[in-house]
Amino acid sequence: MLPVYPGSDLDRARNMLATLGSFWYRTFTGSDQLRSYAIATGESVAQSHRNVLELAQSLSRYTIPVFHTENWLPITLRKSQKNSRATTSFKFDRTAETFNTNKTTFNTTIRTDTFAYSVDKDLASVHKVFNQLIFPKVTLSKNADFILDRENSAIVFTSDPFENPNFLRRGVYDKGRLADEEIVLWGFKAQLDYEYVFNQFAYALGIYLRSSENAKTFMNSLFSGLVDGGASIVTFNSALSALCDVAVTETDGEVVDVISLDAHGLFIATNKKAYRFAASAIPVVSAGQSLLAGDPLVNAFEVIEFNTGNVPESLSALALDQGFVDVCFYGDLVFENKEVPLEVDTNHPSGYTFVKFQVGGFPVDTELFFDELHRRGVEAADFVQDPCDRRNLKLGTLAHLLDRRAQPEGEPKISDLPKKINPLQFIAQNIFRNNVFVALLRVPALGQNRLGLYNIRHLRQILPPHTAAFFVYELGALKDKKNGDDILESLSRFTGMAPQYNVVPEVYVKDRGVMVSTISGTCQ
Amino acid sequence: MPLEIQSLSELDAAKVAQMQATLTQLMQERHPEVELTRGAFHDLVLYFNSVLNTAVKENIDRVLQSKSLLNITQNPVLAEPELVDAVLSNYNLTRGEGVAASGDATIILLQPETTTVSSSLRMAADGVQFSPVTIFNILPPGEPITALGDVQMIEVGDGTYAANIAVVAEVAGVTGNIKRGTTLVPDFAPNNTEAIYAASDFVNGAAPPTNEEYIAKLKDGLAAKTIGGRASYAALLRSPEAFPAIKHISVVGFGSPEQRRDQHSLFPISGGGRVDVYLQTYAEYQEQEQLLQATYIQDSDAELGTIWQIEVNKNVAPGFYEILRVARPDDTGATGYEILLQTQGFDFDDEDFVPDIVGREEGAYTKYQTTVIRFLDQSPRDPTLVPLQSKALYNVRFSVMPLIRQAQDFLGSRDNRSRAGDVLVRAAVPCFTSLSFTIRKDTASSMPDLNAIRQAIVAAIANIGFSGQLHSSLISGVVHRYLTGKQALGSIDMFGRILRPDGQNAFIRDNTILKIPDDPTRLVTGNTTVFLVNEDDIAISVDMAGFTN
Repeated sequence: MLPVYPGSDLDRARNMLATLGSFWYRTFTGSDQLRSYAIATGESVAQSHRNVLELAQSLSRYTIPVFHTENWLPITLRKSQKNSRATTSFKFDRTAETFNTNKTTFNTTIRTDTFAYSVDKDLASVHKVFNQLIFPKVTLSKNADFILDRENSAIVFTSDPFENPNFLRRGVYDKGRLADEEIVLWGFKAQLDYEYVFNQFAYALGIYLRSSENAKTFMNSLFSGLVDGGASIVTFNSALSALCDVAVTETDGEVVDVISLDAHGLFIATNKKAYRFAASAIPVVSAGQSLLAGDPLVNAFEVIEFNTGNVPESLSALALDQGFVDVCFYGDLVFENKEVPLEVDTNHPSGYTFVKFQVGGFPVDTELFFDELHRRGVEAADFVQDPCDRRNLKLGTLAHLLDRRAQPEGEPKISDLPKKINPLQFIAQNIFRNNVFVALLRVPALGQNRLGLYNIRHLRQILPPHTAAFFVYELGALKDKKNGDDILESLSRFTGMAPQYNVVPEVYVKDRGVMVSTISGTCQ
Repeated sequence: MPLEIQSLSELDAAKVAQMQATLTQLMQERHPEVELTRGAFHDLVLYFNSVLNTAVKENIDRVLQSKSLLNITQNPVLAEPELVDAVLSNYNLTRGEGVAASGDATIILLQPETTTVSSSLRMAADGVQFSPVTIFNILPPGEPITALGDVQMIEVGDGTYAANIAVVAEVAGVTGNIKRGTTLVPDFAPNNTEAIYAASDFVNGAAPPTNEEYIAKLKDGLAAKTIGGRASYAALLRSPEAFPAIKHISVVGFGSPEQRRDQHSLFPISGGGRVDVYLQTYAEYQEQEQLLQATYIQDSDAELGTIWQIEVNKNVAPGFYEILRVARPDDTGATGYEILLQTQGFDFDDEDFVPDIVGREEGAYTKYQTTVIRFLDQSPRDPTLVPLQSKALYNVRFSVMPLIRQAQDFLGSRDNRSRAGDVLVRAAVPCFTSLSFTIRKDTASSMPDLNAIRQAIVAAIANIGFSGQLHSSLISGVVHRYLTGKQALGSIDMFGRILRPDGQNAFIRDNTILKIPDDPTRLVTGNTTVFLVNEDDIAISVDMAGFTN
């Protein structure tokens, strides 16, 4: 909410003075000074009032402010701290630099055209900075004249404020000797991070995240999930929305008004609220559409439930790791969402028709998978069912399961079995349709203020343990579009260079065998 | 009243200075002619105003902090019971008063005569007073039990008789957690009584939780008490009407490598729908000793001894870890008899709910576990023994994580279990841990309190739960609280014996981090296994050397 001035009599010195009576207001010769004093007192009372409001808001996890707001915050800069090592240096494992870029030296001051000074580590944001409170001659704006570097607890200016004569310098003395100089900047509506959300609520859930609106929403989603006894769709979508920094519809009954792409990215406005997304996000709503709370507006994430046994085209594959297959496997088994031939062996030594299909992974793993599948099937087929034992109701082999005959007799032949099979569709229909859902996250469409996808682990608290959630990250590549109508192609011939031959002696050739590495994984 | 500062001198000078700077600036800009660096206006108006305003803000801040248990623990000023109670009430929790230790005491009787034990009898052990939970009438062998409080004595075999009665400590706290075999000294000797001792380890005594411990309970308080999300399972189990004292809970479900029960179908892929709940119910495991009937099988092939068999049914020591000792009741030897054979099984008879268990590993440490043991009694042979007919009583000592049966019955009951919900409660896989270290001190400094150190280490390790690793720094941090002056801690040798669900032992040893191996095939991972240590497992030597002055 934009600040309003004057907001109350605390901003109207005359009204405050009037409460003292006509003598102090009209007759007293020093009323002008008294008026200034009244302004100062009003400011301090206004700040106390703001603190009381924050206190009241902090009683609810829904309304708790993320940051404390200080109407006027003195920001003291020391000249000696200009571009110091603490604020202006490459930090190992914190800044983007690596050992191989340029001649990087960590933790030493680097040359820069900007001017960084240390500030209070709690200072999270301030939009305007002045040299004075009432009649400022200098106004500095965030992102134009300075930025706040929270990683290094620094304020970074485009021009050095110590070179600006409008900032009053003060000497700092040590044992009577001038040791340093300092200036005071006045930050308006400065936001200080006292970790309200963590200290008041998130600590109870064991979740520590840097203060932000998304962190608060995520905490609230988990809180609701705990109170409700599990993750409802709204709760889960809300948590995912906060993690990905991708807004979902806030209230029931919102109607989409505008969808547009501008310099800041994708913009979607409903009759109640405006939403912002990354430019690469693709809308999944259309103008005039009525929405429910929790409905996604863009394709940044998609939750796929397998309960009907169907797999949408958007999900290309699932990799099953140790959490889903026997731990004896060396790596993941990849079930792709595409038709593959069904391989049938009617002369299998077991005496039963053996079938398999293409599954990604190490060959020994896939072989083991189908051998184990067949072994279980044979065991079940040979098993004489005890009518009193309700726990043994196996049907037979996979070939028996796939047999298309209405009244099967004998082992199925090739003609009795389907020619093709969709591996992912198959496991969805036969296994995962009961207890599994997939959250497909399209990374390029996620917001800049996402919380870090590793925080997905906190969702385990509210997911029922008899169900499982797959999180699939779709790492889209940058796309360069070209209109095909603008492209002219011509064909010409030229004489190429004669191929070069180079004979390499056999002793120089080494066969290192096949190099294998894990290229995919599953997060649970 | 902690919500209000009692003295203005408590105020942070920096906050007062910041307030004064703002007031000064607001005045100075309009009236540079006014002297604001010193003098009456500075002292009496601006400074005084700053102090009072800072006090108001500080009071507001304290109220805010008082709403958070985390802040209360960090600010000693706010550590008032009523403030803590107020926060706890927001999380549906009430302050506990601790738990008085309780357990069974064995009374050794001289004659097979009805003996009454009054509930006013007071018995002392390790400085703690215990009393019977009710009036007990101990009846001679064979006499029918007809009333509440009746118990039947059994013949020990050495001319004495024994009966177990339930006793409880008079005060709450861990001091009442006495060890099995500890003698209870009565304030007056009841008739016909030779001795009284603890029949099993007392493990449920607990001090009132600290504020730090309450922080860990907040999530249980606010989570719905139902079989829903993982946190709700824990909240349901720890609800006041269930088992509020359970220390650690690990819910292993779909997608966890340790969950093997959901792979029983045709497909070697997890299908979900199975939930294993691993419990560490108390800080330490419990040693229980029970008199069980054995059947004579045959004479030993060796010159001495006879082979006997005991069938340990599922109700004897539900979910027990291992059998520590088997011996005749009158045998006071420490080691007992050699166990020749041990066979594990399951018993689902008379169960309303039968979980999907296949194989020993899946059923180990559950309430359904049964065991048959054969052992070699090296007592002189009795020619009158008849194979498979002759019976005798033997003392069998078990290591047990208590409450496994009760927790399974609770979660599997019709009140809690959902249709098709397959929940299996298991005792945490044990990593029996022993520690050894040396405290080095100079000759002049006093002897550290080794018992207090052992108790503190046990308490600290008991708080680890299902984390999969025990750091020596945790132990050194605890020990250093008890060291002063020229006293220091040497290397800490940490040794663990993991008794796997397949019945085999795995050993780990380190002096920095003792890590539970990631072996989900055998159900041994940090999600299933806990470190269990008791005071007897901690060897501390004190070395007066190394300091030159």
